[in-house]
Amino acid sequence: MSRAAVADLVERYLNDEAFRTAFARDPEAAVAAEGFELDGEELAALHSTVSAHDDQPLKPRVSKYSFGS
Amino acid sequence: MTSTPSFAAPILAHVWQFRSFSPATLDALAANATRETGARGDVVIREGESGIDAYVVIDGRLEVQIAGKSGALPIAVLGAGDLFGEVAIVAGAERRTASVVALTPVTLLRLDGAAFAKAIDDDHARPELEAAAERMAVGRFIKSATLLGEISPAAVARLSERVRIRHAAAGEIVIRQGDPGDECYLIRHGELEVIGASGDAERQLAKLRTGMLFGEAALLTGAPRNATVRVTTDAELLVLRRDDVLAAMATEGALAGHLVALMQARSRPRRKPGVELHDRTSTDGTTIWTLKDPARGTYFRLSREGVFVWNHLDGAHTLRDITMDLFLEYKTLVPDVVMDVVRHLAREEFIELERLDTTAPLRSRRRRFVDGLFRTMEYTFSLNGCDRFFNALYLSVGRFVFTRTGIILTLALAAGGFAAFLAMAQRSAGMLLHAATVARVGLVMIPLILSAIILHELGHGVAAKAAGAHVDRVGFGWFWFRVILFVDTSDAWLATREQRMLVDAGGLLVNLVLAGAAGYVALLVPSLTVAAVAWVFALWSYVAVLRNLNPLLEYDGYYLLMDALERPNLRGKSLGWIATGLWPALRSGAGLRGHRFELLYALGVLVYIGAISAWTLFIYHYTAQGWVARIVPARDVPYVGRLFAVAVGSLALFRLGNDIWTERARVSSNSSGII
Repeated sequence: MSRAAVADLVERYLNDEAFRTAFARDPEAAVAAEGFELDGEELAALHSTVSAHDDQPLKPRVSKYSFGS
Repeated sequence: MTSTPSFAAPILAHVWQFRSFSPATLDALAANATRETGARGDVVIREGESGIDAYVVIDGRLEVQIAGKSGALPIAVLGAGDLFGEVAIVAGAERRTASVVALTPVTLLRLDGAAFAKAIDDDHARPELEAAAERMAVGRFIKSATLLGEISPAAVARLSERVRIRHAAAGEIVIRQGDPGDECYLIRHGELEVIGASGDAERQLAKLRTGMLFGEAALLTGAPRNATVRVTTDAELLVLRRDDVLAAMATEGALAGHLVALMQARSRPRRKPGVELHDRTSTDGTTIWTLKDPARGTYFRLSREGVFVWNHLDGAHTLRDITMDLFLEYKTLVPDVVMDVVRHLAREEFIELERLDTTAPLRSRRRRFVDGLFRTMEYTFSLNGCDRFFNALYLSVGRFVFTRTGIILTLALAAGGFAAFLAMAQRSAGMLLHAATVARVGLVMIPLILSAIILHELGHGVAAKAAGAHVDRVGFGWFWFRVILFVDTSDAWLATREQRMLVDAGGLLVNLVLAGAAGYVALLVPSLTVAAVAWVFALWSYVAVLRNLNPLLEYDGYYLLMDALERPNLRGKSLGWIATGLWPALRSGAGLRGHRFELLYALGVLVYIGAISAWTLFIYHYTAQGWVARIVPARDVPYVGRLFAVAVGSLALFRLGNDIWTERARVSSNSSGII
């Protein structure tokens, strides 16, 4: 894998607000529009599904009893 | 078009760029000037076209625009007395470098290009005009090629006037780690590298190119430079002073957001000391990781990738490092996910990250207002440090009850009591027809109900101890306009699904046992009054159990449903999906596949809250009338009552809207916001 191309892409993502917005809409289109040349494996990595979108703070569990209940 | 040389001379005399021109030169310019008018929307000069004539605005407003990727970008607004079009002459450009469009009907003085060129050379005004043209070019660059592009033309103009241009040769150090810093830099040309030093070791943290900004962290936080920046190919930099940037941020909200997001994207976050990482295996065999901050009693769910990010937040890895390492480890290229995980962890204060102090007062004022509103709906008074009490209670009673055998026996007892309750229904109803009995029953029901509520909460706490969780907080307060008692069982987030469900059901189990016992009393005790009290108490308990099983508000039934489905934050996520996912799903044709439950649950909540709000409006309308009747004139009582009811109903809907909005912000975050 050409780590350099991926590194450039990541660098761009972290530094360029407009690229971040485009990437959020369509990662592959954003990468192609900016001329990053990724090989097949890197493109597949771009499409890989991750479960981290569900990472979240857990709300307090407060077992409560209402006097109106 | 009208030739008006005599009219033009006094106008030209007030153009500041011409202040060094002699009267003879001004007369010569005026002799070759023509007066023109234009309508709103007229393009006076167009970027890319040839032309050397200049213009002075006599009346009206115009906008200077340059072409951007997604349309015209405004970089300046012109008014009476302003000069434009001179760049082509001063800089010797053959093509217009910007367009000028009339924002209102305009009156202009058109200056012949050749006469203008002669005038500035005759009166040695070229250096001053060249400086003005350079400022325009800087403004154009700021607007078109940097992250400052969204700021207003006025702010661009101010920054353009204030920037200093610095040329730096390859190898030159622009900023040095550890030095104080009150300037940041926009790269107009050239390339640089960011180097982090730790002891004697140096490491390249990032590469910087044309259009990028650097040096913002020290400028925004007041901390020393956190890295060194060295020129790798000869560079031209625009130097922005701290005061100028902060002044621009004060009026340009987007600029503040962009700068802070940039600073945080480049940061090297560090895990907060004391935060624990726990893991457990879910029912489907996957591992679930949960962070716990014991000091604050807060929890955070992490995925496989989230744990990877967490383990790399050591104060040395940048987000770039982590994204690259994640790519190499799991062959997944997700800078957005890495940024989101870090952002959420920072927002929930599980990691330490550079923050912009100047935004804090604004945010906290807004937050305080919303929190104040919500306190009228939900507020608690807590007693902390209760774990030892619950531990003792568990060891003395709970450890016998919260076993498989204990639960089966308890349920059997409760079932028998329910049968007794049913058997006594007809007789008890008959007893309750006597007014004297009703009065006596009412008198003893209050302490009985209060005791049952306390025992209900103790049931949750002891069940939590059975699950190995800490129970550090109990208290009372109000929730959606009702007085509540509560016990905080948040530590059960670390328990298995079955253990959590037992914690959720612990209070209900107590109510069922109490109701069953009351049923036996009603059946076996000969006293009619005692039997009536016991039966009514059992009835109240069964109704309370049913109401607590309502999953649409955050009572026991909600937690049971959430845990049974292994869907943490079910309510917020469902409402959030309605707000962010429903319309795109319908529009894209993807339909509701995989989201039917969220839709059903969210609709259930919305309908329920709507109905409750309507009912509240109705009830409070009359209740409030009773309250205000003593203090307002009789004729105003209905209006004040309605007003009060509307306020209460509005609060309920506002709270629901805030829940949706909060989750929407979380779900739709695109990694560009401030942490």
